[in-house]
Amino acid sequence: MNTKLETYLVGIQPRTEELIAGTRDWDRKRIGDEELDELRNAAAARDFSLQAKLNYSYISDPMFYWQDLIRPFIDSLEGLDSGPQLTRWFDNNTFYRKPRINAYPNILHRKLLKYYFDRLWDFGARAKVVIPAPYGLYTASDNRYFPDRRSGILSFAQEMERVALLLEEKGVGQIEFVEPFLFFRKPEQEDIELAIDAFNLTTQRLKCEVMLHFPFSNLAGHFREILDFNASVIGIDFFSTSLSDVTDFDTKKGIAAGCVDGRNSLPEDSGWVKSFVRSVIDRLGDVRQLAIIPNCDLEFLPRPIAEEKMKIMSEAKKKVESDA
Amino acid sequence: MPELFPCQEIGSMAKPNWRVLGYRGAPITDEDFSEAKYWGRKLHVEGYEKLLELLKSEDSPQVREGIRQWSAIYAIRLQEAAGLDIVFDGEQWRTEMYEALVREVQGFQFVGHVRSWDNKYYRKASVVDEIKWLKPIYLNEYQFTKEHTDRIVKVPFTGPYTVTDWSFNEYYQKKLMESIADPRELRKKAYGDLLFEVSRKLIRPEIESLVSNGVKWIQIDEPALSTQPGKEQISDFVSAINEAISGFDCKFSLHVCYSSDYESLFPELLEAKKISQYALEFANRDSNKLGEQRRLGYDVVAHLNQLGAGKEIGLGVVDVHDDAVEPAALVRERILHAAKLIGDPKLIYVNPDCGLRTRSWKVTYNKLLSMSKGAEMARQSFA
Repeated sequence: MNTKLETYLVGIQPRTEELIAGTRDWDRKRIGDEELDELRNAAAARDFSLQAKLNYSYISDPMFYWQDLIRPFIDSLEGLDSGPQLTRWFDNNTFYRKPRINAYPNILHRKLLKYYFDRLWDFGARAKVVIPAPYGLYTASDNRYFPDRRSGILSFAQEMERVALLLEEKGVGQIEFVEPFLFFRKPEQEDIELAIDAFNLTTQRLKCEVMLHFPFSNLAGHFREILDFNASVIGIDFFSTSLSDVTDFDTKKGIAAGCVDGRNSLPEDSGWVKSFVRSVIDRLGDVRQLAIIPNCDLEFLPRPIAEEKMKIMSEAKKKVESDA
Repeated sequence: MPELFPCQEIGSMAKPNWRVLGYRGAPITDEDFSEAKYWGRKLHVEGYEKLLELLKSEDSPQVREGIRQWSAIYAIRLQEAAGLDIVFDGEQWRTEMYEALVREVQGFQFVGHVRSWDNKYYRKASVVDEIKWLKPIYLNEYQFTKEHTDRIVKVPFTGPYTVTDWSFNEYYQKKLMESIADPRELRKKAYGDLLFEVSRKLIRPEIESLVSNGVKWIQIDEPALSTQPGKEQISDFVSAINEAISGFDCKFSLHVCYSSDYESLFPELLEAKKISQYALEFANRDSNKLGEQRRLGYDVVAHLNQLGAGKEIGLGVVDVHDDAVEPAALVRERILHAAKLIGDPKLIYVNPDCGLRTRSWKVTYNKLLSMSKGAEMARQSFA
């Protein structure tokens, strides 16, 4: 097998029960910032340590400071603020605060970096970070400034390039761009082209591995267009896209196969995951690299179940390797 | 009930602190006690002094139950005092719309907390066995409410799509794992199997028990339906809900909220013919300015008119995510705008966008009061 096999996490990780109770207590002013930080650091240490122990190819920030994928950018992009509106996050019983775009966005680096655990940077080129793709970030927002979508999205793309370059400077090995908005429902051709232009503008100067992840999305019929995204790895949610619909995949790109369900508590059998991974390789032929990933953020699961799934991913990788 | 623009409840209200702490057996503060006294007086709750005595009593199962009943009575009185024609108990008996239902049913097992938003989490269950309805779940709430009001009572509860969507599906997926290798197909088929099982084995028996005990109106709450990615899911919902509600002599309304695109629910949803009212959230997406020529939040009403739906609309006229109380004049304007779009004003019922449980009682009361005043002002326009 010529395919390089990897495994790593995507998106936001679930908080521990202790941290959930801690944030609730903090909201009710029963504990202070320092005590909450201790709980947060303990939960992060546990998460980092488990990823390292499972020998993940990249060590992901668990994103325990993030209230949702978008919020840190409301905080750290001048020109955005948060309205009162809670908006459902795709077909999940989870909500995010919709940003309002009031002016041209301008990233405040120091504010953004507060959302990452310092420990992450110690992992050097094994560290990975997760940020929204520019099309998604704009689409998630309520535009009150830009006269048209194109200028708005491309302006966000420029600013997200600054974000990505900042993170790359910190030494990360992979940046995951999350794009759930484009293919959740059937897109217009114009939107696909706009998303490609924006993404390529954001990533044009990056040297680290660029992953583009499409959680909750059925990509059937769009693989030719996906070729045009300047990403070295494409993340596919195989609980939303059928393997039989994967055609025209550029094997020079890596595939991150989301075949462990982040939205179901049923633990996958590692043998079942192995078989699925084999069938992906069989279908695509000599794909350059394949990563076993969850189909979406594990934060849709309670922590103990997520940890069980993390172990299953690692076991499945070993099984594929030992078969080869 | 007025012929035009009757005002109705739509979902849960916040539980007062004295209810939360008292029911938990925890000591309540002087402030909470004063709150119970304040609302007892303000709402003219008959015999509220008995609640005050209970709040000072030693903890016991009877005391806890008494406190819970009083919170339901207070919620009913608040709705009546605010001028609602169709009421319920503010769902004061329920922990949360999903948990309250599935914890009473065989086959579900709670597995932990999952984030709803920010630092708010809810307990999520897995379906780990075949679903079996064991006993009436909401009948006590209905009978209690009926005993304490002479207004029309509507029983709201969570529908099959939302129960399915908000549960982990272990049992039905496990059954199919041997035979289906493709994860998408597996998830989809297992989802459909669970949806129909919930409809047949949970929702239908519950409706049967309510209707046979005199319930005349049930609101099916389906917030998850607004997140559906395509037409196929709506058609599945329609088939499932038809299985659950067909053949009953009862009025059924459907509450859906926070959809990015209500129009995508139609025309498929019209095939759920027993559903006579769509209670939707509109105010959240509408301008708060008076005198708007086009009220963008209400566009779907025109769409329903174009489709010749002929259904009642539960018109969300106040935003439940904002403390600012909408002026009655704005409520009036929204009602009249929607009445014009639908063509027949008799089809308009008036309600908040959704349950007001994230708002304080003061804000809830003021919003409901403004709502009923706005409805009255709208009626005057037709007098």
